[in-house]
Amino acid sequence: MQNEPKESYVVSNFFIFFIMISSINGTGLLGFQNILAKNAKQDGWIVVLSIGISILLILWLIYKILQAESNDIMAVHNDIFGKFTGSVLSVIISIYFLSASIFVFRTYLEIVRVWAFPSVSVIELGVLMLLIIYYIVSGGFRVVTGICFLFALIPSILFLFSLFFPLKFVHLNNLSPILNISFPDFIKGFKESSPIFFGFETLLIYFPLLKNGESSKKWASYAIIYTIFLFTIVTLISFTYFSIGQLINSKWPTLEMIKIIELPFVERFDFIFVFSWLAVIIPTICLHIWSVCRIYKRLFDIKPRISLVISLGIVFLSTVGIDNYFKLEMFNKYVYAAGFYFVYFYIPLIFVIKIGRNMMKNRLRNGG
Amino acid sequence: MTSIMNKNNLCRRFVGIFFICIFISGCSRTTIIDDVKIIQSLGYDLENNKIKGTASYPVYVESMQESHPRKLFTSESNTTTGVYTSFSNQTAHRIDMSQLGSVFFSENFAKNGISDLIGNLNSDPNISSNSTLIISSKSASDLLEESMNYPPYFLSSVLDQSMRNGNIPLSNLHTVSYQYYSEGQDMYIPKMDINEKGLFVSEGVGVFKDEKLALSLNNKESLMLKILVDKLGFNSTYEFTTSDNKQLLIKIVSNNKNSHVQINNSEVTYKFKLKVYLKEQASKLSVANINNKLTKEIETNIRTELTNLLEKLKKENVDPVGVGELFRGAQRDWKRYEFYERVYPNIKFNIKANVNIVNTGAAK
Repeated sequence: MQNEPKESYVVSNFFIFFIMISSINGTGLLGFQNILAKNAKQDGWIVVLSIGISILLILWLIYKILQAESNDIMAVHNDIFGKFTGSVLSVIISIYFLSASIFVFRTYLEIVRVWAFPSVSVIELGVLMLLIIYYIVSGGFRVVTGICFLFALIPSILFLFSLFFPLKFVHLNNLSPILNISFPDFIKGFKESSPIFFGFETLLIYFPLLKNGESSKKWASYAIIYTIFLFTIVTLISFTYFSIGQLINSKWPTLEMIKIIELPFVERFDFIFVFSWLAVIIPTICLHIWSVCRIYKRLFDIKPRISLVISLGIVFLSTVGIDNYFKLEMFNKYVYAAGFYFVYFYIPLIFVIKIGRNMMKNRLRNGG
Repeated sequence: MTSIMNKNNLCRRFVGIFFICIFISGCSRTTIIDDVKIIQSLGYDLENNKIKGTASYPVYVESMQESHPRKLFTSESNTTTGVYTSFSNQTAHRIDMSQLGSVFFSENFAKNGISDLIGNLNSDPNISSNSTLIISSKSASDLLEESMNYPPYFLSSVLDQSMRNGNIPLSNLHTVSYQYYSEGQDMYIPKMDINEKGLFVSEGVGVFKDEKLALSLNNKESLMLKILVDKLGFNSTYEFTTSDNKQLLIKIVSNNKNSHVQINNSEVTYKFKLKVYLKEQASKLSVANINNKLTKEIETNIRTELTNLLEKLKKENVDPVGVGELFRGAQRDWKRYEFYERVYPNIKFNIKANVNIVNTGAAK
């Protein structure tokens, strides 16, 4: 396996800041308050904070896993489980990434349909977006990084401007009593809301393409901290702007919140917001699909062009297949569950196995 | 060799642009403003157990002098959204709700429950959170009929004005649904009426218990409610009689509110710091008089008015002020039902009002 990519393919370290932010941002930020409110009531922001901190821990684990000679998850799999089992596991991971991108893609289309064009067909919009995604991903990792770099800060810019308006209707009393959440509710809220941070685990794939992998850790942590900050602010404002019942009753509270903005020259800012969000989801989808292609290239030496067309085909077919909101909700549940077990069980498991193996090796070497 | 590659590239680019053009034109959804009926107000009445819907829309004509017939859409249905269906049977153009400014419903309709209406308005993303809900004292269709003699969006502007500069507490679709879905607060919705001369007047607010209209507050009481619930600076005026029978008018310009809850004695303390302008008769009062006697008098007056309102609401067991929310925030095992059954009827209100007469106008 060629673990050393050519100099012309790698990107500078600090770009991981933007890649990581882009990989996390998806449609989650538009509607995560709903599930959070159901489970955690007024303590939602505490749950978001603790999810963020746990993600920092997982990030640390990922860096530990990717240390030494095997510097991406495929190599780690091969190392630990052997060629056959390792390949099977890597393929399963690629399926997870593909379904995550299908989920983001389909959810965005759903939002556009509900919010702006009820009569537009998924096929029409989907094909247009897939063309853009094809164009970006076929350019390779550097182009994907460039797109991430361009669009990573869009949500913050949008929010910086738009979260100012709802402040007029904020009820701080909504947040008290603080820490009134029971432990089972906390666990449930944690489990069901943690997927808002998922996507950062694509690091397992693109790690070798960073110029000096080890020292990118600093920038990756900054990215996670920045995202925690963004999510907590959005949570705090939406939990004070809405009453809990209102949050439970709406599908995309963030967009509902933007609906209050009324400017003399733009009566309805939420339309602009919805369409700007395209710039937020495109890098997320591109990065996931790029990861899928990368996995197949490393495992079976399949040309990215072929695997890219096939995966985009699968994305398109599943998008058409999920033809109503309830199916989307079901699909969402499966993807979220898969992500949860992947991030919180599988990654620590790999970590433990790898540490155990290293210790064994050392002991053998010392003993022999 | 290079020229062939260039040609290839050009060809590719051309094909790409060609396809994009096809797709983009496929995506366009043209809506010409003349071909859309933009609904600006909706009215709901209850007649013989059927919902009667009325909708007004602006008519665009070439010249304003030209007189033209203006008509409302009317229809009957069993559901609040069902009325749209027959609206669209009455017009040659598409109906669009995204500019909806106000939704009227009669008292009768409100007494029957408005939870469906709120749910439907919220589920339509086209309807802005800034649109207002209004209870009409006469039937909603009468009110909209009358509004056809006025410029577009006149009704919502009247209400908007009296919320900003008058005595009506701030209310729009967002605040109403906030209160409706909140556990410790009941809804209040402004009321509107037509007077004998055919002019529109905003007249107090209606207070709801759950989803049904339970109580109406007059203009003075609604000002007191505004002092209790609104946070932002206002411009409301307040008229009262002093002990020596002088009629005075004050204008409240800012309000700094603070509330505190004592769970054990079920006691709520509200503290207000009001800044007021003295408008009427100011020149006839001496400085010493204003500083001592008058300030005290205004304070006692406002305090008694506020207490009267809170006691009245308590007696009717409605809670538009959000006392329940205060208790929910302070009590870890707060239960809605228990609170309104046992605690709320026995609550004691403490009100401290601090009035500062900032100015008396330009006359000396």
